[in-house]
Amino acid sequence: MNASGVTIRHVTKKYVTRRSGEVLALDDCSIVIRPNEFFVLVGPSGCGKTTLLNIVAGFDALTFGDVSVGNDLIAAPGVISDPGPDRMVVFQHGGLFPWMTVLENVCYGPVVQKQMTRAVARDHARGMLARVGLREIEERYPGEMSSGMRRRVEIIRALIGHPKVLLMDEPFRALDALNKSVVQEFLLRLFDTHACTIFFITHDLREALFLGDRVGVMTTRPGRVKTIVDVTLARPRSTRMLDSRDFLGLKAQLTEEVHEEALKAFAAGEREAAR
Amino acid sequence: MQPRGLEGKLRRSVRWWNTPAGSVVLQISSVVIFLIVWELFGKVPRAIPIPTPDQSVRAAVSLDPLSFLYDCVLSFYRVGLGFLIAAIIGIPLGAIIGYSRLARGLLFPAVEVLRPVPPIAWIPLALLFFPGIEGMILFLTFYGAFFPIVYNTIAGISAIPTMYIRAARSLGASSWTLFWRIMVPAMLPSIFTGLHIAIGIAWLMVVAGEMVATTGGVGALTWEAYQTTHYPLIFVGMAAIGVLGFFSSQLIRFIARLVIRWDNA
Repeated sequence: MNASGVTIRHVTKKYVTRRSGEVLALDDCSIVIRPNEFFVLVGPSGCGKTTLLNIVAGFDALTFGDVSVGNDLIAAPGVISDPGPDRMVVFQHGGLFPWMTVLENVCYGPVVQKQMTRAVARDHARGMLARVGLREIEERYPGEMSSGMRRRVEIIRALIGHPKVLLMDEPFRALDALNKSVVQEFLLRLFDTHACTIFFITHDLREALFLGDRVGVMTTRPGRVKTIVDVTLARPRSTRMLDSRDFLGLKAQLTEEVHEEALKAFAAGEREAAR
Repeated sequence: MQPRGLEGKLRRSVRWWNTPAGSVVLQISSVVIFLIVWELFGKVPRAIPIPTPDQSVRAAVSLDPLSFLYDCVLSFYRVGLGFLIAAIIGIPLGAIIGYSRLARGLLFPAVEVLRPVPPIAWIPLALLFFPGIEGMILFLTFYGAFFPIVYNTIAGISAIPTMYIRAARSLGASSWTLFWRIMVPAMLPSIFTGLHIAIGIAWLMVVAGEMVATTGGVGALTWEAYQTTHYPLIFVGMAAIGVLGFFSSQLIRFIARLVIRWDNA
């Protein structure tokens, strides 16, 4: 599969909850992610970022609008295409299967899709793990590794089937600062060497600018895209850039955009609590 | 392994009883103190004194080893068979109740109605219903093992994080591999917890059943020792039950360790 763009048009999502009735989670949300682009979405917590990603992944239905990946319609009212290997997801809390070794985890996708035989998948996975320096841990279980190591394996597992788009839902949230920067660089190297489109969610603005080609800022609920910031930093990127004048300038700009929304979200939360 | 105890976690200083040699001394003293207390109980003046440790050991030695072994094997067989049937029915039933809402609505209330009745309360009905002794005892061990297995399987399948299911579906898993490669391993630890509890209750039930039926087994041995006034044999029967129960529980633990290789750390 080749990396494809993702077109999200006028996506609206309504929930009905028993407590507060109808909730508008996403309101007319439109994003066009280009093929081979690293797109990052930031916004206050509860703004619907994850809901949007789940709609693209096929875990959730939308109320209005449509989503396509490449030329395939993924979601529209009444249309949900099942989750599948064209849209691989890397999860917030780590989605490696604890009962499989690293190698079994990485091979699982190609084998169950009957893309490769077990033997071919093993060879392929071994090669890929060796190239990123994870060869020694292939027989280990996830429980025997650090969380940073687990994230790296999970990214490899997601990439091995050449998805059209990689969906990452705050994948580094639970990592400590040291692990986080190692795994971020790991992802950047992979992005430089593999053709892939990434849709990445985070609330860490530094992470957003360090990784992304463009950063979309979402409004507080109901979520919609407020602005998109072009990250004009050259690739390959290194941690040294984090102190550059360009980076700091972009960060100040982004912080301002997000802070405004965070304040609104806070005020809305206070109102809700007062009710 | 000896539990370290709260004090062990709080204090850094090493006392003599924290050394390896010291802990052996402690363990031996513990057994010796137990035997002394038992002996003292035997010295309490009563119409029929409690048998002392040395009388019990002599009773054990005087036993016909073959018939004793037969009783042990018979009880073990009764527990094992009832337990196996309970596992074969209970695990799939628990999995269906845990997975399907329809099955949950249909089957769970019936399970809930039966559960509060302690299994021992079934003995009279089981005697009435089953023409033979073996059927009755088998029913009792089955019944005792059944509920812990069903409940822990339900808990196991309900507690599978949706993330694993989603990850597997993203990776392109069919429902077949989703079940066997994801859901089954994810609920195995919980199933083994159920099996571990179940084997203990199966032993409880076999002893109760054999005491009522008195046709062989370590429960019958213990009860008959009382009825025929061979009092020291009571302790031999009790010890046999304890050792067999411990052995079965270790067996389950051993199998669990073989099957759940990823959780040994």
